[in-house]
Amino acid sequence: MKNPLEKTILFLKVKNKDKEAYGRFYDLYATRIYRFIFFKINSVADAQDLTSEVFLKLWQYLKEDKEIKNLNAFTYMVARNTVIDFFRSKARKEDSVEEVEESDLAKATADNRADPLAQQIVNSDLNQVLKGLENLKDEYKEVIILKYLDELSIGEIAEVLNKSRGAVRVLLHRAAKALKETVNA
Amino acid sequence: MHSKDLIKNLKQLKNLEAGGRPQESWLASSKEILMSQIQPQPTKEILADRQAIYYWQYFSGRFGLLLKPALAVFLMVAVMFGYAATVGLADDSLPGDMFYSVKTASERVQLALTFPEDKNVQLQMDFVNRRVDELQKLAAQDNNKVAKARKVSETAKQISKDVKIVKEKLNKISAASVPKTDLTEVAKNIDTQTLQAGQTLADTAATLPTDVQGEVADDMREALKNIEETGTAALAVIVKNYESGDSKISDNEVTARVADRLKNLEKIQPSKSTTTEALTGDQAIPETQSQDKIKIQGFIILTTSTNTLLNGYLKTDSTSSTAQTSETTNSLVK
Repeated sequence: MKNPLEKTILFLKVKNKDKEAYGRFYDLYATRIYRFIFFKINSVADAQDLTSEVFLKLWQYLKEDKEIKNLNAFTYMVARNTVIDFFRSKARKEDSVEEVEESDLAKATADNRADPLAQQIVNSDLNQVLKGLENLKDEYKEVIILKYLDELSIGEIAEVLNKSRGAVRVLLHRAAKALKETVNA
Repeated sequence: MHSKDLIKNLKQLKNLEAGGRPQESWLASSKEILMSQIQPQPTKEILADRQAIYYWQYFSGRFGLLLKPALAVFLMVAVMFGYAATVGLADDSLPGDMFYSVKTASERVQLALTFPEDKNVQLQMDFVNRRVDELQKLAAQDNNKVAKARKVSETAKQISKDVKIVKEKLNKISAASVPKTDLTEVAKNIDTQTLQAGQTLADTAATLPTDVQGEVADDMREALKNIEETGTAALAVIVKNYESGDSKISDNEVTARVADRLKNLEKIQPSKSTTTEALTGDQAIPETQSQDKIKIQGFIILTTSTNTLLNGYLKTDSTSSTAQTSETTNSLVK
């Protein structure tokens, strides 16, 4: 959806609890939210479950007529909170979760090797970036995904992360630097 | 790697599954689930209503074409079995029972479908026997007297009606072109059966309680009269065929049948008959015209139609026998 006006109308419709519009909103956001969650928890199955949960929660918020200034940012915020809740509930099994995370991500990478396109980039810069991203701390990883993959504005990121714009700029700068160091290491 | 390349590569990550790209199939199924989840939940009543529709749609959609012929066959079989079962039940029913009308209806159908005429008249006689049987059972039933009297009267009336039809049909076919042999056989059966039926009816009447006897007397008498008349008509056919040389009837048989009939006529004579006494109770019965008629008709048959028979009988026998026969005949007309 390239037309900003079209997007604005869609968001208005969603805020007015238009189910058909919410279906299109899902089409637009499911992939991003999934990716956002996947990078945080590194598990396909859990990322799928949590993504579904996010969209259901968001609909509940809309139905409850909660004030939503920026639907784009709000959606990421719901996703972020959902992931936090997920980690809290899994806190006691922290070690095993980490093991699963690693194995799932490794599997995803291995799966890509079967894909011809993926094969080409296995040893490419892209692969290096992916690995670098994996090794970043969560805070940096999150801000980089929001900024460069999901293309959120500084203001939106600030809203999602519940930080000031300045703090987001600083965080983004540090995250980019850390990634560059990791990739070039 | 420069910052520019780094950002470019980061953006490309979107297209990799490892970069967090979800599977298309999951995206679609997840959306479907989501859309169903956000639909307003129907109430239980609506769900229950829909349930029936869903089942119907499922069956008609999936098995519709298969089920239609199967359903038709099932219904046909059900109707056939239902009919057979009902008529079966009705067979044992008595007047006043729920299925009795089915029984009589089934009899009418049988009569309408039975050919040729000699078979038809025999069937009609069989139904008379049925009515007599029913009357016997009704008389034996331990129910209230008013109902019993009413049912017995009705059955007796029906016997009168049916046995008259037997007579009419018999007369009709004796005038038509039915082969003599068949007709003689039928007439023989009717002769025998009317004697038995009359006897059974008379015996049954005797077993009824006194007050019921009073109630049913007229109808019973009428029934007995009609049975006797039909029997006499059957005998007339036998004699007629004997005269025209039907080899199926021996001299002795004719004589025996005539004698039996005479004996029966004697029996239903009111002054001598216990049966008639039973029928009329304590009342003194005047010798009615109809009873006279039976007697006279019987005599006429025996004296006119069986002239040849009697002559033959007289020829072969001694004169004393002739005198004996004449005495019997005379005693009847007294």
